[in-house]
Amino acid sequence: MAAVATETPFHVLAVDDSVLDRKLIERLLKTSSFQVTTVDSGSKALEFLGLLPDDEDSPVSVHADQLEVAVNLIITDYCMPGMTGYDLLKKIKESSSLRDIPVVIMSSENIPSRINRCLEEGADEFFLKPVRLSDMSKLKPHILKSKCKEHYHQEQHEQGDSKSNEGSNPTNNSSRDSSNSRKRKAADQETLPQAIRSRHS
Amino acid sequence: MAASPVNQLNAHISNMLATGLLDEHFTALRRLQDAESPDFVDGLVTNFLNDGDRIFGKLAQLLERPFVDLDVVSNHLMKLKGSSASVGARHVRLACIQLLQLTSQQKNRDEWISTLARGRAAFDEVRREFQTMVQLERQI
Repeated sequence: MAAVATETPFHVLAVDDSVLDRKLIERLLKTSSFQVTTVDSGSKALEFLGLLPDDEDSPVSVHADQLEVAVNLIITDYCMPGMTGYDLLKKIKESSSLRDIPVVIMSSENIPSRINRCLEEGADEFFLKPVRLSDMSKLKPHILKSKCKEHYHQEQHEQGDSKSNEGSNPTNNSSRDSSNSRKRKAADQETLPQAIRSRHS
Repeated sequence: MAASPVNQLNAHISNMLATGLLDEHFTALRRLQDAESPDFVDGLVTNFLNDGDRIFGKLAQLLERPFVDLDVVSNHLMKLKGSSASVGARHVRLACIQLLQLTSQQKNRDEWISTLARGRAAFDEVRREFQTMVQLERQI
């Protein structure tokens, strides 16, 4: 049974068009021991996650240099020009490789219908801006929950697939590289190292 | 007996808080600053002051036009409201809320201009006080 690796901090991708709010969320996350990447738009977020605007989920669209980037949680502003946080949420949930990454929405407006809409679309949490340090403690549970789900699914997958299993120590299957992160859908899964495998065969 | 630079700085900030120019979010920001990020608060203040300058300038221009696009005005106000909330600039945030309320009412230009002037005055005040704060920091 794999223990959750804790030597590397969890990596959060923060999306906000406001430079002030990006600096703030970065400081809050770093203070809370997260590794942080900030981008200023939804499209840059998708680019970082390996989804290009046109070809979602097409194996050839993923950049090789992004393969090892694991994102454990995405936190995004709601009101952004172009792609809103809601649009970004939808795209993430529509992607088979990204949909298990927890998504948190931030907004300066306390509009119940907006909050419900986001939660219904699959957002895990909704923060009212300005975000506080105490809000950061709500993030890790979502990451751990999705990792547990992920580990369970992976075990199921491995049990049903025992012949192709490398048989290596499951703890090598670093939770950092598990499908919580954006993963490449390989054309040929058998030749992949054990850490990166698609959940969807 | 002269107060030490640190005491002067703290007294100045306490005053800004006491007068309602700033709220507890600013205090929270100061707590986030540490040796690793010594310019954190000043950086945010600079961003806020730049936003305020730019946006009040744009609002004045927009209100001069014969036809005022209230959607564009709202967007600018929302942006400044967000910046002021994030940095803890309470008076400016309240001024933005007041101005946003005007967008949903049938208000004439004069009312807009006088409310905007009050908002601008609030911004100018916090800017002066922030500048004093930065000067006091430099003496430490």
